[in-house]
Amino acid sequence: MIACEQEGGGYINSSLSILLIQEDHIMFNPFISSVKKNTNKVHFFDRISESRYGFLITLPSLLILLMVAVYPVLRVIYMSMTEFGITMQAKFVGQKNFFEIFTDINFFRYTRNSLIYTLGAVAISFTVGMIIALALNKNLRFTGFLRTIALWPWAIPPVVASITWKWMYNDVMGILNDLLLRCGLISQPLSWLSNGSLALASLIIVHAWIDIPFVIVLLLAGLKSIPQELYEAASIDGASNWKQFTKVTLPLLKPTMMVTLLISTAFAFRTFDIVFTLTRGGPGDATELLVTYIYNNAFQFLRFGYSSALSVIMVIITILIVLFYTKVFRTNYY
Amino acid sequence: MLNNKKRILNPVLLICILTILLGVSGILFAKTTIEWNPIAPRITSKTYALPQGAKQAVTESGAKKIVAYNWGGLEWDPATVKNGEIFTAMTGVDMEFVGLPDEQMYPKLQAIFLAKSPAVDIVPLDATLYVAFVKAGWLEPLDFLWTEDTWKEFSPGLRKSIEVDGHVYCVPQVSRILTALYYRPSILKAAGFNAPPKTWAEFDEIAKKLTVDKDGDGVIDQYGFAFSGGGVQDGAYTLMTNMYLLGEKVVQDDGSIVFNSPGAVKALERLVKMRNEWKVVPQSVTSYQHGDSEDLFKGGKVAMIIEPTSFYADITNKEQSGIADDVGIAAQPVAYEGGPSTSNLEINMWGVSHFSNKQESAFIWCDYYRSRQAAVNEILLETNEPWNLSVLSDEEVIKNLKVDYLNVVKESLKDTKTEIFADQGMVYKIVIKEIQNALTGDKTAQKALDDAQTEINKQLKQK
Repeated sequence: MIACEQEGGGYINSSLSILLIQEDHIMFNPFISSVKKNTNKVHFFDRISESRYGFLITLPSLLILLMVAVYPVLRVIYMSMTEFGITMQAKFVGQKNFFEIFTDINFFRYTRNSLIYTLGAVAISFTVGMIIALALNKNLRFTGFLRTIALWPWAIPPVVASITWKWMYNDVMGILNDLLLRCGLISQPLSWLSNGSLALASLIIVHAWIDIPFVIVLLLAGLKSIPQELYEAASIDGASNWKQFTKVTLPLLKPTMMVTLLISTAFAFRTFDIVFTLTRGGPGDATELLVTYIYNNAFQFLRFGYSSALSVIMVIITILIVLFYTKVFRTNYY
Repeated sequence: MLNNKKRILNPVLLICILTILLGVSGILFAKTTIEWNPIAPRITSKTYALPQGAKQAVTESGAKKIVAYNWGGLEWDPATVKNGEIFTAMTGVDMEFVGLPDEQMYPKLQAIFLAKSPAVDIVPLDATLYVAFVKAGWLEPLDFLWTEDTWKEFSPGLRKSIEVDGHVYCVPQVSRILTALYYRPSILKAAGFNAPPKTWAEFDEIAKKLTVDKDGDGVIDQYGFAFSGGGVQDGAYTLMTNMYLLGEKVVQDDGSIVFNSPGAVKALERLVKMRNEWKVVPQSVTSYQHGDSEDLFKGGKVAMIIEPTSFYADITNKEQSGIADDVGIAAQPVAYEGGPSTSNLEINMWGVSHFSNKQESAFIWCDYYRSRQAAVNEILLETNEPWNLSVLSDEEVIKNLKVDYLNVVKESLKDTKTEIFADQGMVYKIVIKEIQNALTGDKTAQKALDDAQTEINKQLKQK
């Protein structure tokens, strides 16, 4: 869109017409009747209003969006109110699936697991990512090289990373146990993925490892946008490094932090591949998450209606998380 | 009078004309029907020949290509590729294989079927959701491929496995004997054993002796055994394999699914003892899925494993295996002397999509794939066992396969069990969760399987 200011102060938007502005005179603009009137042969695009024209040119994108985003969402909402019998014909059952979910003890257990997983993974990845981003923000030797190294895990597909970690966690051949044994930190290999209390923590570590580069990239971009002059001024005023961090860096980094935490949390909450590859929800159901529960209900138990209802609830939880972050990180800077 | 006659004759004449027209159009536009019988000679001869009318029917249908989904990438399935080439040469119809990771196969197929899409013609199936797909009406009945004579050419357990309410909706692609015992002869010999174990008592004794801390640092360097206690199907199969050796079955005569029978509890108690009391298996067995035990065996960390016979090709391939010259294969040990030697036989099948618009070609693919020629390629190229028994007397098979391996296959195929039932995936998921609870010591074997049974009863609505 091209915008030009009228003498009266408002804005005229025009996407099609060519604006020829010479010495503050509008030479041609079909949207200002006093400038030009051509009633004999008016082109179709000239006859329609600006807003309609805008709507028309965005229509293809809107249609695609409707097909790939809105329709599936509506479909899932509809499916959440159906039940599939053995012949796979959908039968409308209203709110039944939702009532069932709220009496399903597994739903609460796996949602709790998902929240622990999300909280743990995001806490680790954000803290470690922030420390590394702060270090990389300094103009030290090899910073460029170190930045490249720090981003490597991001280039590895999660499934491949999970398989690699699976071997690292192996209690017979795994490098982690080997290192810990050699350092004398443990006397017997740990069953990382077979011990109910360790398994979820092991998954959290893998997730954090994959997520840290993403956090670094975003935070580093945020750090680079903070004007250096603010640090110089703070330094002249005698502010220590810690004061500079808490009084300059953190407040100005707040919007970037919000985006980073928001995306990291949403990604962690819907993680599937890591759990599926490493434990499949085991041992027992120690690492069963809400998202794997949805998968199992849909594709193992063929309960498409119930799993759709679970998906709807998952989306609602995600929206609540977004609202929480938006409230916590509300700023007045922009 | 004349009017009356006219009134009667007119409709009669009209009917005659219509009948003639229908007949003529029938002759002019009739589709060639495939004459599937006789079946047995075609599928047991060294070279498969198309049934009568097949080529013409395919030409008339206009099919140039059919789409078959495949478990995993084709680089792992040279036999499937070769059989595809043979099929194309015979019919002129190209095969397009779409390889999908195992865990993505069913979600993808379910999406296609729910959309009633003809995107796939030939459907790969295993036991977990076969019955569910049949009940949903997503698979075409293939009864015309199965006559009484035809059943006789296949392993005895096949019919019971794939018949659903008296109808058949698939053909067997391959079978996998899940229960071959692999051992390291040199390690057994060093420990004073000259032959592999034949009973559980012998097996347990050897497993204990082969679990050793070689360097004396208090950490086990070599375990006697390892099994899959993770995954979904893998872990459930571990239990079922042991149940069968105690004479138990999952599907009862009344059709109910039972996993807490005395034999099942006894089998699980033994697995728990292996991990927690005798400590002859790694603690992580609860997370071991398909291939994990094999990797430990290859790496020399485990002395014995019970795995599918198809592993034999990998482990004896000198380019892939460092222990190719030190591997023995034997039939699995029985629970007690004189006890049943039932092998757990996994089945892979091909079905035809109900929504396919190239069904003639897909039917011919199915007919070909259960033939001796296709199955010989499977066993020679991938050591996938046949359901078609004529393969075991094939000269090429006898000439090319190692005697030890072939003996185990023949021995195992004498007594096999493949249990297929509705909602198998769900039942396995319930059972594996409780198997792991028992293995980790959170529950006793009895309590774990009782809990599993309660949940199965609830989900399947059985008493």
